[in-house]
Amino acid sequence: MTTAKHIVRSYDEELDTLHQTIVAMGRLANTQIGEALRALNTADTALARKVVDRDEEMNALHQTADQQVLGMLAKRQPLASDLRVIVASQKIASELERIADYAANIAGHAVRVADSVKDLPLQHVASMVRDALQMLSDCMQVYDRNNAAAIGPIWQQDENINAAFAELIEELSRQMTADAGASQDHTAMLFIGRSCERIGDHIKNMAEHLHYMSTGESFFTRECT
Amino acid sequence: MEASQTAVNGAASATASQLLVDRSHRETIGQQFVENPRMTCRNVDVYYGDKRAINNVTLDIGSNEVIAMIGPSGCGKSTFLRCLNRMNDYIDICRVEGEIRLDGQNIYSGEVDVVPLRAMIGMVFQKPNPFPKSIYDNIAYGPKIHGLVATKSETDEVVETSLKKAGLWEEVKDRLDQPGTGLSGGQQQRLCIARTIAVNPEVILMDEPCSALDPIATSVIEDLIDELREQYTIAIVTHSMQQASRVSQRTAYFHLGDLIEVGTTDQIFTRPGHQLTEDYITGRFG
Repeated sequence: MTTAKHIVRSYDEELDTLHQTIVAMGRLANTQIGEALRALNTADTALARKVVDRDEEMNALHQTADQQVLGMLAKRQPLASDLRVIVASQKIASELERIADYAANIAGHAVRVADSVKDLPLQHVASMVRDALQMLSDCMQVYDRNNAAAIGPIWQQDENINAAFAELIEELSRQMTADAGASQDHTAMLFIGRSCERIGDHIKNMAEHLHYMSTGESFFTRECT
Repeated sequence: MEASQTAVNGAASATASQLLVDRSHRETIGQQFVENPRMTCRNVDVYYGDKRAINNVTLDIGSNEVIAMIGPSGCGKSTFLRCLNRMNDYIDICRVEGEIRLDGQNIYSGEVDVVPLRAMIGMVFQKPNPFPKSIYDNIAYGPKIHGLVATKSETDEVVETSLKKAGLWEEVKDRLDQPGTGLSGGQQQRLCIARTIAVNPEVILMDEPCSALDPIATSVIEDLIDELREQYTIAIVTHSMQQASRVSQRTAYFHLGDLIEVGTTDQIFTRPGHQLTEDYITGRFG
């Protein structure tokens, strides 16, 4: 029912422009995470460097989103659902920018471990990235449709990423004990795993912002005791 | 936050837009009642001749709260405000039904004298309307006719106290004998507020008190409203949603004579419960 248009048409245009900026950031984040993993798996240092360089695009989009949000806050004094969409969009833009930073970190470490990648426990990272990409895709669909009903599963999926990270740490501990000479590679893998885990956390934050955007309520309710 | 103390809303929640009450629903939703009402309005209907301008409005106005009444032109918010101190009595074709009480007493009872009633429930209008008298006399007039002061020194004290409460004393203390109409618009409105305060009201009604003022004078009045709330109960009609959100603790949304929704100001302006409220405050076509 809130699809009714604003009386001031340019307000709708500005909201749509912000929406498109966030959607573009979501797509770019998806690409960055996916290509960072591909660069790691295939030891493709050129692709890894491309991911690192492309982080600037995300920073520029983040700045654009910030300007669009500030412009609307100043000019439109948004209220109710408009206020929630604009505030949530700004927060989501920040989460996406951080997600892309972690993707660039993964790509940076991928360059460092390119020569020894076949000896590293990549399956845990692949699992984390798979979950992260699914969560991100689901979040962007929720953003597009402004429907909070699908948020719970997204939020809970982060537990899979945390579990895979814990397994990665265990595996790396074993390998470090067995082969102290590869500690640099193992440390790089630890940072890669940590980046994946943080990506999951930021997507989970996105889900919380989306819940507020849709319902006007905090994602959590404290049970009365 | 411990997992055992939290519950995830997400899985079962619907969107706010899905939860909004449908536009066709015209019974009031939200917090009509308060624990410590100063005024209680029950099933109030107002007619202008045969035309019903207010439909079955039930609402409490709490002690020491500022309640904002918002809505499109012609929605009945000013009509309702004017019922609260029987200002509609001046309109021959106007008829008020239902019950409005101040501290438990029905203000439409035949025993109530409207002159002291309007001292207890004062009103500030859209356009500042100082008497064509001196600043001093603008304030002193009310207390004198209501018998609240007996001597010159008592009158002086009331004038000074009222002007201080209205935040005007420092600006006019050296020219109290000059005409009130010579003040700026914002000062004139504060003079009118001081005039209202001077007769010891319980409630102050404000009908778009800042619509004729510039942003600076508006800020001064809004700051004053915030201070006055400690002593008085205030009901304000405003077309500015930003003003309603700045000065009030509760907000009531009127639409075509119906009281559609009442809630805390934070709730109304961030997550209204009725589609009509949402449409109005976001500036959408209903």
